[in-house]
Amino acid sequence: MSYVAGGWAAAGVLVAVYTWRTLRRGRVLVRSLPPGEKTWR
Amino acid sequence: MWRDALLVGGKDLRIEIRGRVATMQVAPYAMLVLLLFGFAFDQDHNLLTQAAPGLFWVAVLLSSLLAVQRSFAIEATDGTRDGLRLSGLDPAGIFLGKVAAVVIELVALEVLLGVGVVVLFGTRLHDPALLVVSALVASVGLAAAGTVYGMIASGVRGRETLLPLLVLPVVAPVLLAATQCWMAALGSSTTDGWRWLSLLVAFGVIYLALGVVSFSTLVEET
Amino acid sequence: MTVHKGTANQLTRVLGAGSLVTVALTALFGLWLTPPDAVQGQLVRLIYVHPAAATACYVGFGLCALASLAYLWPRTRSRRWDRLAAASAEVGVVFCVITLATGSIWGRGSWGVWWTWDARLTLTALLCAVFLGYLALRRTGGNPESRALTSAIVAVVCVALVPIDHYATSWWTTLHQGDTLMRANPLIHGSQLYTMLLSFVAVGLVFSWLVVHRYRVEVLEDRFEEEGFAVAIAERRAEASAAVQDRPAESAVVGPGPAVAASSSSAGSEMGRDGEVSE
Repeated sequence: MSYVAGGWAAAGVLVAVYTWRTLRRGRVLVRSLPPGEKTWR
Repeated sequence: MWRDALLVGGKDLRIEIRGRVATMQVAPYAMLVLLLFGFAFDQDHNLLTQAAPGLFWVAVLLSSLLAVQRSFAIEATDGTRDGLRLSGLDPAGIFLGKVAAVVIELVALEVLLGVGVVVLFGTRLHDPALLVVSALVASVGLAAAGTVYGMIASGVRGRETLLPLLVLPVVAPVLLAATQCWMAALGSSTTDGWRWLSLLVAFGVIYLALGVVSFSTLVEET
Repeated sequence: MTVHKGTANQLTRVLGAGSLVTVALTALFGLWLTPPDAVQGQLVRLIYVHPAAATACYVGFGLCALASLAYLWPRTRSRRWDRLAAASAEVGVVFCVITLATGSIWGRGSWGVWWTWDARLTLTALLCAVFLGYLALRRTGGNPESRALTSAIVAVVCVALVPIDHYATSWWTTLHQGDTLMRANPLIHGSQLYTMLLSFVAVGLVFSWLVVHRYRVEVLEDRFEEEGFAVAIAERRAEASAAVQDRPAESAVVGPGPAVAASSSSAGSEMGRDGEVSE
């Protein structure tokens, strides 16, 4: 059972970390856009 | 194209012979790797004989990285890249010439390493034809793949560390196939070496074709 | 200041909510509601992660190769394909690592070793290394156009080599090991089958959600490479000074043109900071 928990946890942690990193990168970049253009386009 | 290839290949080889970097640095490095394998396996003679083909090809792989790096280091200084670009030589010819030069260097190195393996690890030959043919074909594959990635990596920063990362996973099947060929040729396994040879041929052909097609783009862009 | 939404919009919110719900459902069914397997016991619960992640990984790499081909084809050459290749390769590598990790854990549980030189496992590990190299090449910077071209060539080559890798690894492994260690496929039926299908839906949603976000990050990074960071840095300084001196700096931001306003306010903040230090 601990193997199952370990496998699920590994998958969850990897996806969570990558998601957090990607979203944060996006937020920082959007915030650094010139004023008046606050979208990702 | 063939004339250009001869020109570039001859130039690279002349530089290597006169600069003595290949003979004084790369070859000793390869022998050192073999010696270190001996240390790592703790003089276990049976084990060394068993593993000799694999160790030989790992040593060749590591040295081929150095050979490719050398091949593009001589184009990196004094704006030689621009010279090459403006020279009007056929890019496919440049590619084939560079591959040929690296193949000749590798074959020379393999002869040396082969003697080293026989002396240090005490292996015996079983099927010399397969041995020689597979070594040649594998060298062509290694040189072709190495030259494509060497060209890509030569234009970017961090090229010394990027090149191994790009090349090593890609040439992993060459290591596998060449090792199996040699195991068959040295009589230490009963695999069908010629089947593995076909894989080496396929790899070499793919990378030669790819280099010929894409080298003009790579020369222009990197 | 307004709330920064990052790279989200209606599409990603729907995708994100969908993936949250399906992942939660998969976890609920996979970890509690489905019965343990007759052969594999509790370990079968990893089947709700591993195959779906492996599929996502291969889809990511395949998508990267297709997008690279589309970039190399002169008629369809567009930076969009390059961005899609970058996004799908990166997300593909993430799922590749998940596949390797869960596969390794599964192997440890069912036959006691962390790693077997199984053909498919070896191939996946090789692919992972190859695409890590691809991502490293992408990260080296330089002229975006030439980077797009060279990385597209590399991606196509990487995927073109998959058949060779496949033959090499499968011949090699059949040489060394018999069928003793082959994966004992558990019999799938009923609720297990539905949960597994659900896991594919969940991972598919997570995959597309991540790729869309990553694609937009790539758009933004391209913009910053093209327009330079000067404007952004000026803007950041303006915000910092707005935080330090409450009102005046913020009114300075509302100027005629964005660049002018930002640079003038940044100069103001520098002066203000100097003043504070000297006092």
